[in-house]
Amino acid sequence: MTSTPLRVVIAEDSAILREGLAQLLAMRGHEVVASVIDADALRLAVREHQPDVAVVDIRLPPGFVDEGLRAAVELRRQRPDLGVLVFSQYVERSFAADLLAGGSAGVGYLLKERVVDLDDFMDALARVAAGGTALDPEVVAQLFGSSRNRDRLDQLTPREREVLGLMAQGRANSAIAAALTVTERAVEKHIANIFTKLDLLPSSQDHRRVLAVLRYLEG
Amino acid sequence: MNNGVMRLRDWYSQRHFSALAYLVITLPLGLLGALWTLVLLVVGGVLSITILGLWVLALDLRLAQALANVHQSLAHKLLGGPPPPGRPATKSAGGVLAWRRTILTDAKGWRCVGYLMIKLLLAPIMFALAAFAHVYGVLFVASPFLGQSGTVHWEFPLYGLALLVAAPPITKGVILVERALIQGMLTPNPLAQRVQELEARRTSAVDDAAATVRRIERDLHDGTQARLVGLGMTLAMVNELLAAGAPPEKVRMLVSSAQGNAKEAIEELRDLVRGIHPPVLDRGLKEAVTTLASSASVPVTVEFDGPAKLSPALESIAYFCVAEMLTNISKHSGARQAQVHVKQEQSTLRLCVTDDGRGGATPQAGGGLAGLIERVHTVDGVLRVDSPLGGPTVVTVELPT
Repeated sequence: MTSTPLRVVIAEDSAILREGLAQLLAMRGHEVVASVIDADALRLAVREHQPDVAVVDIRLPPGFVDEGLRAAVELRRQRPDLGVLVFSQYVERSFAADLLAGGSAGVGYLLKERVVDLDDFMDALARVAAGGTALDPEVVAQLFGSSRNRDRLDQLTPREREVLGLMAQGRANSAIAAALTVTERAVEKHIANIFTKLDLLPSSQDHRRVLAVLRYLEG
Repeated sequence: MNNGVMRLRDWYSQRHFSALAYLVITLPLGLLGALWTLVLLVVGGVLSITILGLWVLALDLRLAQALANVHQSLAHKLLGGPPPPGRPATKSAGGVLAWRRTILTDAKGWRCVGYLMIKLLLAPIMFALAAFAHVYGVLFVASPFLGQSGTVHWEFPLYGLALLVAAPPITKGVILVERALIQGMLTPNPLAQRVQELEARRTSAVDDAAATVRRIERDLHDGTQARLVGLGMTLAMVNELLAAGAPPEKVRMLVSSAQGNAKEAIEELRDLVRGIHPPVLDRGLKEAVTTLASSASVPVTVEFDGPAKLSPALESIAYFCVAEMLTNISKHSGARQAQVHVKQEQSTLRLCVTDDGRGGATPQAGGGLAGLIERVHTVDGVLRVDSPLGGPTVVTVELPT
């Protein structure tokens, strides 16, 4: 799987992870234009290097609360062309909500350990850089679990729920088909069923579709 | 004659005039204050069907407490009573509603109201008794010289003298009643005071536990968890290199880096576990302290006259005290040697850590020593630091067993 080389800024306070990530990205042909350790340095680096995508740890110095997340939301608002992948050791529904409040285009929220599945991780990064969405399965599961529309979600078949979950993660039809080892036609049929059962308006554009699904789950 | 003056000074002593001053000051203060308290109490009571009433009552209780405090301060200064109790050091968490609830449910405030209500009845009587004895005494003694009517009652000055002689004991009696009232109504009983202390202690114990959990979470997040993710990353790289058919030396480098990360993660985890509950403590405090001493950076002699077995909580606190102090010694003191002395004295475990370093150690907010003081406090213990500039430093911890 080769994709267009991306220019990446990393904001991560742990030296091990910062360097490991930089090496992995380099191995896949991406260019890490800056590695920084706090939110202020991240803002500066984005201004200076104009990267395609920023990979940002949620907890950054000095407070180690959600400095990275706040910087990510702010950067995303200021630069619609910048993809922001938030990177954390735990998922928190409220963090995802903050991140998605400004729309789901060009944002991602993944657990750090997802990087171990290199193909998936690089795919997510490319998606975010291209203005798509990448949500951790864990985040989607939390959204499912706390959704007030659970009654209607229960009407979906198990397969349809799987497809909905993958859609919510931000995956395209082809990726969903590959993940479930079915044809794209089958995926399209599932999606049509889901949209009918949930009364959602079908949308051809991926990120609109993600947004609709997420709003539905959050509602 | 001299003797007579002495007697007079004994009889009409400084104390007596202070008592009179107290009665004179507290008459208007007590009456006006108590009246206001009563008015607000009634208004608050009537309005208590609305929200406003509770606020009026809360305000009234604060007023009553302030007034009672003034009375007690005056009694402390003029009558030599106990000083008024300080404000309880409870942190008011959560807004004005919590503030109101605290005030309304505090028995102390209601006792202050009770005190003022009794004062409303008693203050005039107390004042009148003392004033009657003094004023009429003087008037009767002076009556022959005032003489407005024709007949002069030569026996009146005798009555007057009798009254003036009786005035100090009457005043004393009145003051005794007042002091009993203050003692009964305003002085917190020892049990209530103890409860307050325990509440403060519980708060600091809970805070201590929360801080510990937070520290463990941080250590895991920044340490072990990050190392394991790093390990996963390195293995992903190995995978990439193998798939690309990279030379074995390159792969081997990554594998040894992964090994290093795994080793570090295990070591950090071990340190963390030791910070939660040092396994060596299972073999008793003596063994644990000796182990600490042997791994310190300066020679430490240990003298242990403590019991073989203590409660786990005490053992843990004692252990972390010694550990922290030995760390401080190696980090800051510049000492060449140190002594640890653990001794059981009746119902107290005494830890004494002495070093010959440069001294000048003070507990700083948020520092290790301050944290220890908090911890020691949770079990009713005390920690003292005696560290003159130039040394030696002696830190003593006393823990009730």
